[in-house]
Amino acid sequence: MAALAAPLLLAVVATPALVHHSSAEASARSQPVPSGRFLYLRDCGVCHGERGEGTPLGQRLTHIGPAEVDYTLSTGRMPVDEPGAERRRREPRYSRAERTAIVDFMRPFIAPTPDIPHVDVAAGDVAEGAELYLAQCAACHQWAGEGGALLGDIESPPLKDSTPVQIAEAIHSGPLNMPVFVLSDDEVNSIAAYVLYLRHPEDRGGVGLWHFGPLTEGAVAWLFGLGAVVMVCRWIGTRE
Amino acid sequence: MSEQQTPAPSDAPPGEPQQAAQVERERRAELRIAGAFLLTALAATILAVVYWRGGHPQWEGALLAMALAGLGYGFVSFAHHLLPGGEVEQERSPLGGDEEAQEGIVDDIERSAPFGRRKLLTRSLGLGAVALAAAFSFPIRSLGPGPGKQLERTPWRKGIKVVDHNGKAVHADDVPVGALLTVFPEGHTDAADAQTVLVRVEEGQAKPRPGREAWSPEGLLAFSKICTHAGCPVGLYQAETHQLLCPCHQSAFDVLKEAEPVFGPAARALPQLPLEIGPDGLLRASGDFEEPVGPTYWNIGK
Amino acid sequence: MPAVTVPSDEHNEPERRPPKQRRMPHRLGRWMDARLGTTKFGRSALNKVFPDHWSFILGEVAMYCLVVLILTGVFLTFFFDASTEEVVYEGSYEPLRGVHMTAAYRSVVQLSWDIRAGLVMRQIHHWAALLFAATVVVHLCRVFFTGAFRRPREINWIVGVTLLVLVVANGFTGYSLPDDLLSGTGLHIAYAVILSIPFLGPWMAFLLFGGEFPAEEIISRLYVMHILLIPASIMGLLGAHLAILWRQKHTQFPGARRRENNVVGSYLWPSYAAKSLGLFFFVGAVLAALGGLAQINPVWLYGPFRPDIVTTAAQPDWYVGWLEGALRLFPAWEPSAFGMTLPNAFFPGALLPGVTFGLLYAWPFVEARVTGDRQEHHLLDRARDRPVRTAIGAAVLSFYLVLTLAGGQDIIAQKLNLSISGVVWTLRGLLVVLPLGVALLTHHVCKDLAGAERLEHEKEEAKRLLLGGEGAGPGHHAATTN
Repeated sequence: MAALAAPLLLAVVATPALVHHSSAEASARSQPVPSGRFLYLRDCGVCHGERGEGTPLGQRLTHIGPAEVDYTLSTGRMPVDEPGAERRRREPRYSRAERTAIVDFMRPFIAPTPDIPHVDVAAGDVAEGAELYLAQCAACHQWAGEGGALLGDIESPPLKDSTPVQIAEAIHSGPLNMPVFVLSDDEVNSIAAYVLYLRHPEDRGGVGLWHFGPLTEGAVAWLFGLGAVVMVCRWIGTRE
Repeated sequence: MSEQQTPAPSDAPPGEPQQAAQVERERRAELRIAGAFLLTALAATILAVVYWRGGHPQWEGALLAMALAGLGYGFVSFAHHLLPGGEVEQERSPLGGDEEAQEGIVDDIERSAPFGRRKLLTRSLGLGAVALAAAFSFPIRSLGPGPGKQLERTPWRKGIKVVDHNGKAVHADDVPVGALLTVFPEGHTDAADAQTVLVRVEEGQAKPRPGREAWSPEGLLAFSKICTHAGCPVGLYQAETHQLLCPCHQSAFDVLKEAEPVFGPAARALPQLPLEIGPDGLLRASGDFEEPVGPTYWNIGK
Repeated sequence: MPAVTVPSDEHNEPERRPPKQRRMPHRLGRWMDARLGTTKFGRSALNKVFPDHWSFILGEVAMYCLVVLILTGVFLTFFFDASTEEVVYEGSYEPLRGVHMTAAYRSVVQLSWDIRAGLVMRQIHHWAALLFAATVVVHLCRVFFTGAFRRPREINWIVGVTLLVLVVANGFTGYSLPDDLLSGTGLHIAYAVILSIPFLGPWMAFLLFGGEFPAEEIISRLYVMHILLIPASIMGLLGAHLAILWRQKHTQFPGARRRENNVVGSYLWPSYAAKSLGLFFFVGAVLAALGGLAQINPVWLYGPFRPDIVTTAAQPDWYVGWLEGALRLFPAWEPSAFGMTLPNAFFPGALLPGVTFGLLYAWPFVEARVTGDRQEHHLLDRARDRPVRTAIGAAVLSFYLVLTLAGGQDIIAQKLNLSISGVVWTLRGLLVVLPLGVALLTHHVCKDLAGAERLEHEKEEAKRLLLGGEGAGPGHHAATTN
């Protein structure tokens, strides 16, 4: 293992510029797409092993499917800057083509399913999506997709930036702490349609107050409602 | 009463120039107040138009607020500038303490003394009143059934099929490792007390107590979904840490250790539903929960 | 500035005066007087004197919130359907079309999306409920910190605390009516708390809900409570509250000419009445602005209640937040012996409110007993002059503030990027430490303020004595401490 890791580590150290500055899709467009093998060995293999067998630094990948690989890469959760770092959503490091290349390189040694899904939001039914979202997703991601806190240093992320493909990948593969949900393609289309709706829900009642619910409503009642009323009271109580 | 009217704020009789300034101030106040009332009229008219044209919540609220604020400003300003102000003093009359009246009322009440003296009458009346009050309280019983055994039982029985919310039977292969599913006994998908979470962990990961090894075939674990703390559905599942979390009060339960509480206010484990896989691969219960599901009540341990 | 002394409002002065012009109000007044003898009371009412201080009108704000609640609430009753019958939504809010729900929930969504002015009415109603509870609490704090509950006003304190209980109860029943996901979750917790009461719990829960949760009767029962039983009690007690106030006359702060045996302020008619009417319109304006511009309780996003589903960030309205917070912070303790168990939810859910309101009811009597002060008081304390009472009050407020924050601990944890367990343990610690710290600090500050004032006062007196002037003015307030 050490014999394998040493040259890989060397590669990482030797190409800091590539590791840290190849993030933007724009730069990827101007350069030819590096091979998936090169990217995997440079950025992933150090911790996950040359063929996804895992090392003390990173978990085994042989049991996960292409969907989860694509999800973690496209949400920027992988690669992390150092082993054990928090896997939070951020700018993805790879272009779409680079991601495809990495996944294709990994296919021989990871599980065949769940594969990267095809999502057709237009075919989804928002109302069915709402019902499914509330039944399956709201427990963690909150009724308006704002996310929530979990136990330990974990959060269930807000869904405002999730793309339909990411939503489907997460549902099928259950990345990180998320469980797997067994849903049909039609149902996933509908959920994706509702999650997209939740980016800008119709706030017929006015300002949405960040969709936090009664907590912010109470704060607004005290600060704005009572604040305004107290100012009026003080004005009325002044003597001319 | 007019001679007791309020004095002007200033004691000195106003001189000519002061009087003129006062008149000017009042005239300006009058204009401001009239402006406020006109704002009310304007806002109310637009409000009526907005409503007539189909309504719009934001415009309705804002225009109503403007109309009311106009009235409010007008009335308060009226009081501040145009009505006689200044402080007046009024004495407080004592609230009680009139000895004579107190004596008198005792005498008045005592007129009923003949009734109080007749013990037979007071006692029989007391008995009658108590009996009538008891009789009146009985209809409370009509409000609902008694708890009976309902808190201890759910519709789960041995051999009953495990189905999802839509009534579709759950096949063991439908539930991959890391999956979360809410299930019900077949034919009881609206039974709130039967709601159950079904998860699958790697086989052999869970640590059942002796005698319960057979309850979780192939790493399939089922627990009551009703939190033992305050009854919310334990809907969050952290698949990596194998914890079920209740979003209401953040009680957490360790799925690998028979859903024992590991954090938060819950003090009891989520009751486990014994499962079996039929020859057709479909999941079935092999009995009801052994403990009562849902929040604790005083004689739950009986 | 010499005050004009008017006789007390009970005066009976046989005053004759030539009749004024025979205008309509006068004719009507004479007509009424001949039949009901209204003139005497009418005059005393118009000449009633109310002390002016901005904090005295907070209770009035609460009353006007109630008026707004009744006006908007009556409108809502015409559209709300208190039924748990299962229906399918076919209204204009697309993401719910075809979804199965109860008639109650459907009627609220319809009211919000398809009834003209329905949503603004509903939102004004909800904001008014939040502001109502807030002003009742602030009014109670004003009465507490100024000692306005002391003899002879103990009865009105009790009436007032009961009103607070009823306001919270009516808020909760109203929050539960739409049968959305949050209200159903709240009801399940309420059911669990009732169930947790020793011996009586299971029976009480079954009788109130009409069976095991979620029984079908509960929405219609809550509806009767929300629009009849509790509002009628509130109005009856509010009438008593005002009648007692009228009889006892308002308290006043000490100051020039203000003595225990007088009231200094402005006449009810017309100055006070005009200002009060203005206040009513302003309260309405604030609520209308909130109701139109700030979305509250978007039940169409919460979705219909189903007992097996739940959403994170589930919280109640703010006035129940302290109970929710207590349920979250209470440790996992559930003692049992002899086959009997004291359920965990009982302590924070049932015992805490019992103790809270019990102590509130008892306070005037406890304080009178501890201080031995059973005198009649019409002059108010300033908070700084009663450091012990003020310190206790501030400490108690900080305790309930921590509990209320705990009611949203998951959102705090998420937004501040902290772990829930860290937030829980921090709040548990604060719950013990903060009230102590606040009490000590408040006591210290009160003493300092009063001390500084005494010093100033003594300096002035010395100066006056040196200059050969007379002593301090009669109205000057002498600092008192307890």
